[in-house]
Amino acid sequence: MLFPTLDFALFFLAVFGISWEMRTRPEARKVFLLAASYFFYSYWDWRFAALLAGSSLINYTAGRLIGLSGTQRERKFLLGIAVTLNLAILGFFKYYGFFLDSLAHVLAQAGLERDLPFLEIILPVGISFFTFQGISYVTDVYRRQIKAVDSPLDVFLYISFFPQLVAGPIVRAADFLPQLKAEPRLDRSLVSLGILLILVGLFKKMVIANYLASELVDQVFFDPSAFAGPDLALAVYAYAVQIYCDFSGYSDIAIGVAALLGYRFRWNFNQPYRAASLKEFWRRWHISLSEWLRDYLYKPLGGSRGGSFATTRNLFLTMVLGGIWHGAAWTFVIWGLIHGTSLAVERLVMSFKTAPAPSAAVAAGGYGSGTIVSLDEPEESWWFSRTLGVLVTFHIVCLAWIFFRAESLDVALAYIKGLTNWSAPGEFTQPFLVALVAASLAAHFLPGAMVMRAAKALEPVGPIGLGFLLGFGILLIKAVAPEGTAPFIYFQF
Amino acid sequence: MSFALEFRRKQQLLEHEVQHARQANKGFVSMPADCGTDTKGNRRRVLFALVIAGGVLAIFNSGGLVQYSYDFADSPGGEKMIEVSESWHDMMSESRMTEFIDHIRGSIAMARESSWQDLTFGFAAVPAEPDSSTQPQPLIVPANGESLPERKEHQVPEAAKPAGPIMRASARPSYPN
Repeated sequence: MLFPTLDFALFFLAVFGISWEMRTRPEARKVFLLAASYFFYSYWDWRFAALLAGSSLINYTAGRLIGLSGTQRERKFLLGIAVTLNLAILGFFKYYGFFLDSLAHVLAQAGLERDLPFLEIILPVGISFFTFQGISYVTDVYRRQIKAVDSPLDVFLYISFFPQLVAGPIVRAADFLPQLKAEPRLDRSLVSLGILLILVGLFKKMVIANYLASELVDQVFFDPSAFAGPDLALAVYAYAVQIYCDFSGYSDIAIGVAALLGYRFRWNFNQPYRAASLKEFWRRWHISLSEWLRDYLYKPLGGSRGGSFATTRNLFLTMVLGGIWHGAAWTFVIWGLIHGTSLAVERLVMSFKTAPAPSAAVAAGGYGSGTIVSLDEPEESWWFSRTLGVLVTFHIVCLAWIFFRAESLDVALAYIKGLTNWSAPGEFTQPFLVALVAASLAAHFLPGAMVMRAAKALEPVGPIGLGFLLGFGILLIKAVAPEGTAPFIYFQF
Repeated sequence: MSFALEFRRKQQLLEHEVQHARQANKGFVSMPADCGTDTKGNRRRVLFALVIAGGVLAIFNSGGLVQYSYDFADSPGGEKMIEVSESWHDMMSESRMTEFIDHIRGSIAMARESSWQDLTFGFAAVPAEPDSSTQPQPLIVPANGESLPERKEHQVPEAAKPAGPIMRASARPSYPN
């Protein structure tokens, strides 16, 4: 069931009405939300629901056992088993075919051809996201950051809650489980922000992402050698916008839907293309995954505790493993390599920068910036370094997107080669597409608090006003958007 | 202090405040979680809003209902559903409710088809001194597109056209809906 469909609208209307009717019976409400989440997931394929239940059971049991065990060694052993089982499930569905293909190839090369047990495996939608949530739960219990939950219902609902089930954001148990224990409440700020985020998310996905995909990106990436530099440049910028709008659109809708059910999720995107460094980019792009990789991969690898070389190596490894997670293909490995190398180089460059005076040091562009500047710095210099940082970061990210989007390494290399050929005019560089890309990128530089301000302004609006806003908002989106509903890109991961 | 510096300082302070509010609430809510909570009233408010939104869509996008009903063609009662949605759509079309969405679609279609030539043409169409020998083209093009200036046909090279359906977010395998 995709968010921008009438099926989902009817489903949500029923869930909203019934779940709030049950608010005085929290346990019954949780059972209902769990059933609704499994119905939502089974809409793709009922067998996936069995896998989701199995994964939840493993993590609930592991959490309980870790919570009950006394010795550190025992706890570590149980954590190891739980993480291995989670990764085995993920690995089987994501890499089984690739592994057998590679094995068959190696055996054929060695003249030892065998009939291998090839299976037609369908990748369950969102398997990575619920696996990551499971791993985060058992690890947090092991680290004593949260207590093991007694009620299986809470763990099952935490892992399967439908707004974030198939493409994130990856919700932390420490954020979500306490909300399940508290009495559900729906205040005006949740309502206005929920409705606004749903509209913004639908616009990003149905209008911007779908137009760019169908009218430009898919055609150019299908055979880049048939196009000249202007089209290839526009298409890679368009893909940067498309994947952002597709993924952040989903996150916005998920956060909005959860808000209307009384649950708060953290932001998952924060205008990533205004980042002036790769470090800042990863604090603005898919924040829940970046934090997950930091806490459950980068830190266990040693984090920044082992000196400069070890830190750089850990950063690099984290990004490469992050790339491989996206899929068993060299293109994803290179995507991770580009980000890992750039982060390592950036860290090296930053270490040579002189630290500014503490009184004046301000992280540029809000929190999490990797570009440290001082308010006392001359204005021209500030703008110059910031602009340069944004441009360089954006183009490194775009270079990596080419590998991420290309069907194969050959296609990606042909694409990059074609970018140097500006002898022919562009076929696709028409005003509509150029304006769409430019406006979407420019929106990254609007004040970051705009959505919150708009939501605040909506708080006093009555039901009729909200209804007309929602109704005409969706009507406009449907009128402007191209025909059809494409799946979200991150469903495949 | 220059405007730019003042703007930057305000922006940073605002973002800092927003960040602080987010951390304080473990989410995006800028007010304390228990302030102004009237769950029952807000639930009614949202339900009412959802019903109104549904009504707006049913009236102005009745064609969407017809399309949706076709998905149930083989199911019991499907024929009846199609019949009802079609007669509803006819009724809305007769009362010109569907023109709004058609008008927007027409404008978007024109924007999609426009070329750089069309845009520069628009600027050049206002001469300093009107000359009867060079009649300026109308700046506002009728919706029927009859006086649209001719433009070079947008050709996609044959090799570049994907074999499968174009409408997809990614060329990677998609999932059944």
